Amino acid sequence: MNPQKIPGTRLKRAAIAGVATAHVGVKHITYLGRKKFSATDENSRQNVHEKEIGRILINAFTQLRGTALKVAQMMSMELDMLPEGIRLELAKACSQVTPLNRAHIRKVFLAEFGRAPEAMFSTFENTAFAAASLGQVHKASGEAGEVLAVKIQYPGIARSIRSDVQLVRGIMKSLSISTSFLPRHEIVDAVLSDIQKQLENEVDYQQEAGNTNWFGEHLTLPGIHVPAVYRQYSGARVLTTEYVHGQHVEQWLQGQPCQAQRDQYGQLLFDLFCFQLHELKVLHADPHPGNFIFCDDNTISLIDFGCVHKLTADFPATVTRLFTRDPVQLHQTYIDLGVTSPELAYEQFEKELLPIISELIEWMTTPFLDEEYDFSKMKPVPEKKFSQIKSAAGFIDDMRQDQVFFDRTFFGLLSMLRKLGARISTKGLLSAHRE
Amino acid sequence: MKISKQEKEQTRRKIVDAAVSLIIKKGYSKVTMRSIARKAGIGDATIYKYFPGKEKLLVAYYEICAEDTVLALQEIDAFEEYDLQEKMQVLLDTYLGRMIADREFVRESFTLLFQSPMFLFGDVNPVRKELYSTISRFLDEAREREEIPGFPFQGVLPDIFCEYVIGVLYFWINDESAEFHETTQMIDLSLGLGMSLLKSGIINRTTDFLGFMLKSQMFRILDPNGGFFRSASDFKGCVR
Repeated sequence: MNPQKIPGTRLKRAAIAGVATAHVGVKHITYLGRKKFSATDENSRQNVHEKEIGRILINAFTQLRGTALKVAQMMSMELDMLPEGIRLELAKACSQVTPLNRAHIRKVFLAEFGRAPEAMFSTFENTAFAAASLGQVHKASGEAGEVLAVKIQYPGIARSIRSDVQLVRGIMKSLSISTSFLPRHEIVDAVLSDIQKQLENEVDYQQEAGNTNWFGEHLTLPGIHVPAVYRQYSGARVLTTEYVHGQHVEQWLQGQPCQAQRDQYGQLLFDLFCFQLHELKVLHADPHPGNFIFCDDNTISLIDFGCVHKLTADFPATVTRLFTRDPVQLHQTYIDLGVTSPELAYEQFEKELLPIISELIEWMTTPFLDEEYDFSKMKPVPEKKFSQIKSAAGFIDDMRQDQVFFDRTFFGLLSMLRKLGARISTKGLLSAHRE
Repeated sequence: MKISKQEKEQTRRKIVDAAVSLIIKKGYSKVTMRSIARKAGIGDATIYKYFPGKEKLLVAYYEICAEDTVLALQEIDAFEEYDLQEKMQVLLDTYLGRMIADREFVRESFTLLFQSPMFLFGDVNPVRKELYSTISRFLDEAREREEIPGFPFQGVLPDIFCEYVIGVLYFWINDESAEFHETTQMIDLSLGLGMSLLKSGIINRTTDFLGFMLKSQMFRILDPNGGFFRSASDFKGCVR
């Protein structure tokens, strides 16, 4: 049989989708940076058409503002199965989210604390220095002169998530009927429900304050810092933490750091991931590069705990068994993870699935063959198989939540390590499994 | 004994407070001037010195809320540095915030007042009375800072904004969404749209265009070899 062809039955397609997702993290592959659209005539015509649809969507969402725009933004990240043209247009939404002006900020503060920001802080900068999920972050100083980062949520937004997502769903649905460029509406629906859940978690600043404190207490890895929460300046819609001086990875790289520095930070990021996976069994699952602040004292400050995920106890040991080229072990691990059905016989797996995923497996296991790896040598995700994963991605409903969050965080990590071009010891990931 | 202006104002507010809480409890039609006077702790006759009837009490409520709003705006640090949209937003937030505890009263009184003949014929507009000068000032400041361009008929703008405040009020009393987030969104959208209209200078271009059309039509009409005169003489010819 032609290995490029997608097997027909639902069971098999589900198996491929699950396996592929387990290996590439379809949903978060964007972090790895993908090849540009090839510009043949046919392709560019299609691209223009897709862009047009993207623009229609953006216009629709801009009318709605607030949550809808954020949803658009997230879909551009989450829905990797969206055609590139549409994704690019949606990604533009990132810079268009309505900023909170002084009137909004006042409103939020009066509702939360009964006082305006200027009455709460010694100084308060009206211009935000960073964007946050459905809000923005301002610099301030407290009564004792402490420098603070004050995250403020768009007023009323937490209450409108459900209805706004519903609106987006309606728009997407009508568009997917009239065009073939959007994924089937079941897929869009599933992704939107996921986004809704995530947004509802992210707008709960009290929960985030709790998460931040928990990580501050338990993340005892040397070199990693979690900023302290200031309860007296925090509420349901305002979260105040200590302000962290440092740079995002992009800014840091502009200073052309030497290889040793890159290695040092790379190792720290890698150890941070392993520590969360094996020791805490809880993941900081928002791997946006802006959430890792490179500080002057060679430490990393981890910020934004709006999205954290507690893993099931046996998951870390099981998932690390995926980092193998032994087909028998792979087959068993997929079954253990619930990615494929136990009914999928080894022979069928070897004959039909393995040829499709072998390249991905090779790509993914390479950094862990030896105890050290130079991430500047890591190639981009193999593109060839992508269309197959895409067409099967509608069947990922049964994916274990653990797997989804693991993928998200792990591929975020790989992306950062590639960017840094770091040479690091990679044995920490599998060590728990080897022991 | 002569009553000071301040005492008079206190009594006025006391009466309005009493009326609001009674109307929330019993409904407008069941509340009498007498019961309001009792509740406010003043004489049955005294209340008429302040308000000739219940309707004027409703007007006074909206006036007081607007007065308080204007005062509250004066208290805000560096408020003059806010841009026009921010100022309008704070004004609306403060005005609605002032009424939030009495929302049931506002719901009931809004229709009675803003659909009454005295409002519709422009005799009474409590919002305009108190907020007109404040909104005019906002607009002047915005023009001075070149946030918005000047244009003909700009004198009507404060009136439009005052009507807008009443529109927002109407939206708000019908807003059942949690934390009134729909009102927040509506204000954001409508103010944003209004501001971009003002900033774009589209009003100038429209009036220029209308002016041009008018002038060109005038010339056409006045042209002795064509236009109106020609048509008129042709018409005369036909008639003959």
